[in-house]
Amino acid sequence: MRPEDLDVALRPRSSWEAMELGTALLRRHAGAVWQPWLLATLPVFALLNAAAWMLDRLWLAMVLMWWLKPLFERIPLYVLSRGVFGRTPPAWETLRAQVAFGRGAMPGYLLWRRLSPARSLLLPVDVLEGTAGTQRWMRRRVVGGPAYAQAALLTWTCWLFELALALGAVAAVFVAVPAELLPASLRSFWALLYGGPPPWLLLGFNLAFWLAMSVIGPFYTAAGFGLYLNRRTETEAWDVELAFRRLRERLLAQAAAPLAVALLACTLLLPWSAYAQEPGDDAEPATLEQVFGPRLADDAGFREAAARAYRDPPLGGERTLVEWKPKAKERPQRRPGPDLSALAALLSLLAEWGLWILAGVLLLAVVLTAPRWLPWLRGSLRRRRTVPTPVATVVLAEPEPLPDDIASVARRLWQDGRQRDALALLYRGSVEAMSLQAGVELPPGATEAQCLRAARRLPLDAARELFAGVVRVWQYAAYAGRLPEQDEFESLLDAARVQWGWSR
Amino acid sequence: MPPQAVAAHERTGTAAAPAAMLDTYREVLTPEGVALHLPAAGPVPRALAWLIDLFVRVAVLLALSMLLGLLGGLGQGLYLVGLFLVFWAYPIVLEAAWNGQTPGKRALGLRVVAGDGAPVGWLPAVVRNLMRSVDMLPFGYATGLASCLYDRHGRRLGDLVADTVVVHVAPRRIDPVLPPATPQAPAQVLLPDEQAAIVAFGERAPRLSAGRQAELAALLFPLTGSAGSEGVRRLYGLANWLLGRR
Repeated sequence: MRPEDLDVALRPRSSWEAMELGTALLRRHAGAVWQPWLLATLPVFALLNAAAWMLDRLWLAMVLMWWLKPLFERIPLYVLSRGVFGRTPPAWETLRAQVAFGRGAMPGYLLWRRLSPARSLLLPVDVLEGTAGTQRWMRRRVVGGPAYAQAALLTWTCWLFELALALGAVAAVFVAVPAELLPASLRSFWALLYGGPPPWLLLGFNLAFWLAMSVIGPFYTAAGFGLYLNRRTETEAWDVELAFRRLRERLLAQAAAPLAVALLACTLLLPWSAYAQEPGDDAEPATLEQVFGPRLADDAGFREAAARAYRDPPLGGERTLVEWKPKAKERPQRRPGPDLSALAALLSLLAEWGLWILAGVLLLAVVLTAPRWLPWLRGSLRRRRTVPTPVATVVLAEPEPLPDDIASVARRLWQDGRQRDALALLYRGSVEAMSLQAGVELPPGATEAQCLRAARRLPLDAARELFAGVVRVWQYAAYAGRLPEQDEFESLLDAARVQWGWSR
Repeated sequence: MPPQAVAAHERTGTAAAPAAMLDTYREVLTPEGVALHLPAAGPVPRALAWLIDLFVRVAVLLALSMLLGLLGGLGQGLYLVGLFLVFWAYPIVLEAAWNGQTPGKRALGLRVVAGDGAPVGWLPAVVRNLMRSVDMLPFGYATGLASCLYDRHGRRLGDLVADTVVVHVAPRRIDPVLPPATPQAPAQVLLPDEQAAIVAFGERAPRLSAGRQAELAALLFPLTGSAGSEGVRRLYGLANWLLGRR
């Protein structure tokens, strides 16, 4: 099994979440599982029922069908164990493979292991790993260990699911019966069950159970397979291995030649003691014979000392427990409880009237506050399928060329009541003049901050201050909507005309 | 699509158009472009949670009936009110007011959230629990079970109508315990997921066999420049450093 070829995302999951991974895998390969499942179980179902009918023991077919479940569960297991690597085996291949797939494990699962509560988790161990003997037993313990309880609960829950679906199929018949005929048909159904059910009814039950088994069985196996995958991810840290492999590939690709040389040098220079320690870490702890060799003597004094040590109260296993017990047996006292009927009558009277009053008050409150909560309820009942508000687009106008006489045009705009346009013109003109005087090429759409930064190149202090003033006034107007006073605008305009050399 | 999926398929050379790596979460994209992963819960833990809730409710009703039995007719009336509340208000109130969890869901580590991962509100809680009467049909939640098995995110009809999901709650993480090692800065710049993998190694390696630890550490020879138990120790050092232990 090569984790790097896996088609599912591995990460540490809880056992419950691991089941969802298995069922998600089953949903992805649903067709490849249920086709061979139906092809395999339908003939067996027909054969068993025919045989049981001849023997006049139809219930036997149901029991046998249930007993043979481990045989059928190999089908989803086969498909999922391939599907986990992104391969979907066709139905005929799955069916043909069933002859030999996990043959060694089947006798156990059909006989002494049939009632094992963790079948879904342990079946993959036996069928997919192909180990034998003691090793298999150990693998079962390692894989099964911490997830055994969840696997048992899974088995139990799936059994209940099957029951619910089978009885649901039976009950669905009665849902179709009109309500006025329901009591009569229920009574006749019970009579039918009570007085020895006819074969067609038993066959119907068998069919319902086969249907339920066909729905739940693959899900059960898949959930168990998910648990199995998760346990192996836990015990072997597959997700870490995958991440390490990716990191390794990246590092090797990133630094091909020079680093390799450096690393080689590094390894050669490493202290050899690091390697010398290595076997010692994993070795078995030494026994007395290994340590002392032939000099080891069986000392009676040592044994005596050891026995004495065990008798020592702090080390030994005996302790005294003191507890109190009542001397006399408690006599059961039966006294009639106090007569509460008067209290009960009073409470019931209060409760009756109180409830009516409460209901009236509530109704009044609901009606009176309707205008407040009705719109809220209407609003919250609406499906929140929000349509993204369309973004308003405006075609950008080509910037008008600056007029020759900026100052007089700006003043006229101001007097016409278009103060904002006047300030915009003043700003644009100032920027143009500034870039000319400072000898800076501004990018198209330069921000105010960029312009201010460029203005630092201006040779004159006065020019720099003026430009900063223009920018500040423009920003107040543009972003805060705060227009300057008339005198302030006039003085700014005059200063600009002098500084930037605008005509007049 | 994550890069590792591409890498895996390129190596095996199977699919021409590789499918995304199979995972069990429901992905929700927030308006900020952040992908939230909601680990959807399937029928098995949900059924167990429901069973626990059933036991709790039956126990409450039993205690109630013993207390109210003393009051005669009034007690019977109150008991009927209690019966109604315990069976219909219990899940609604707990889910809406207690973080989307009933005691059973809490025990199984589940939570109800809205379809986009937000906390479930009163109206969805009412809707999804009233829809139980449909999910119960025709017997023993068979309809809800079928829907839960079929749906990719394990939703029953009530969840579909109320647009809610039951999700697994990640267990609260305790401060990771790493084997002590001298913290050591990595020689290379590591990407976030690679750092996470090294820390995960530090957390989980002590429970692996010594051979497997060495095998994993040998993969990172290009990073640590050493293999065997020395490599393992160096990885522990890196993990300690990455966790900010200097």
